Amino acid sequence: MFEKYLVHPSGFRNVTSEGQTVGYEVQLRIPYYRGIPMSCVKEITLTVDDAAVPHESTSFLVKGEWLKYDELPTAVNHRWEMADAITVRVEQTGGLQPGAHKVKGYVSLRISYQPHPNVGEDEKVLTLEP
Amino acid sequence: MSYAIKRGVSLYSYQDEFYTGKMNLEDCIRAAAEAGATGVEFLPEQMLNNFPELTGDFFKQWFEWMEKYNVEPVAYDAFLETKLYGNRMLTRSESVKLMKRDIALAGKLGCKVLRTLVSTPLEVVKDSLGFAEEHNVKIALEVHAPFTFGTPWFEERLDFIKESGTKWFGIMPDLGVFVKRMAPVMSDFYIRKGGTPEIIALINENYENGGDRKAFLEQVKQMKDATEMDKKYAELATHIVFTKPQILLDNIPYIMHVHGKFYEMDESLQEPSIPYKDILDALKQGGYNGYICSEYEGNRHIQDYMEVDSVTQVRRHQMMLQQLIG
Repeated sequence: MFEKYLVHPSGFRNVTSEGQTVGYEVQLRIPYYRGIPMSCVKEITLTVDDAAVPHESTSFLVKGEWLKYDELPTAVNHRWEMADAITVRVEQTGGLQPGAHKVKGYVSLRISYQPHPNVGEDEKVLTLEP
Repeated sequence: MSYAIKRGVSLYSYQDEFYTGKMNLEDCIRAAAEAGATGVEFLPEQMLNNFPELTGDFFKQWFEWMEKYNVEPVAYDAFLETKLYGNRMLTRSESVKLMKRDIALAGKLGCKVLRTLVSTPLEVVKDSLGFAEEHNVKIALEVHAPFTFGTPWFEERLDFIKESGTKWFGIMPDLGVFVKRMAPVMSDFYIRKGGTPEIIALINENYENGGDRKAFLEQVKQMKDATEMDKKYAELATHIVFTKPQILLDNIPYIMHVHGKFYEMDESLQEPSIPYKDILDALKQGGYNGYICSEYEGNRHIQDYMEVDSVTQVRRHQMMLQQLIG
């Protein structure tokens, strides 16, 4: 549910640091009907232009603080709210080329009252913002 | 028998507009009031940013809204995140602590009923009853598909309620356990995604006739023309529940609240899949004195292809309830 909103249309941009392009960012909305702690995220995988992004190069901005992918399982106090996007930053020297890119998001959430995870997937063609 | 059934709205109904930013919490409360509700129910984990850390300002705002729109807080839908950690379930004491957190918040929000889910261990409820009484909040177990009345899960809990004589633990039927016909919004969704109209119709017919749905699933799997979506729909039908609404009569003393689940309200104020008249007749006959809250859940079946209008759906549902309550 709500998976058509998963890949957020805005906020797709390269990230620069000290004059160097060091990666890029994508905004994601939760494919679920309430907010949940990031520790309940089983998996978030980005696929850009048909290439899966390695988890170890991703970090997440949730409630104003950055968490690395492997830190998510203990992030019991950072909620991914129903109405807020989270930012995913991908470390990639040089970032992405200007123009349009295929961005796919896959999210699997551990839901306490269900035997199976809640899964959402969405792919959009986004144009890199200046 | 005399009855006094009150109409409320669960703000869950407006989740689509809330998600897309068309409505905020206050807009949802206003829409519920304008639909004719005298009470509101909500999911704090859905609509409150920074849950569970709510500020004094928020509580003040909440009660100002209640007064402004002339509605009362009715129910707090809790979740109990027992799988907070990936490597283990919360222990009993951790779960009780979470339950107490929610009970205290429900009390501060003026909600007299806390919804707890099918998955809540009975021991956790037992350990929380004293706290619930102190805070004047009743713990209501949601009787929700695929579980229903009469199952071992239900009987164990009902036995405890009866034997203990507690007034602080009861049940909250979700009307999704009374699905008499498969909801058209579900059938249409599966057809849009590749289901075969003729096969979907056969699955619907088998469901409505009370046929063996697991056997029918096997039959569909054998059909040479059946698509993946046909098979998935036949499987979905095995998880939908039809219980006879008369079961409500036997359980009236334990019903603390009712979730008026619905999937679609047409222009003639009919819900095509749930027999609302039979349900309301049973509640009236039993002398039910609590709330029934509209809980719209059709949005997820149509949001892929059309704009969701939860406000109209809830308004129609409230009109139907008003007519049926009389």
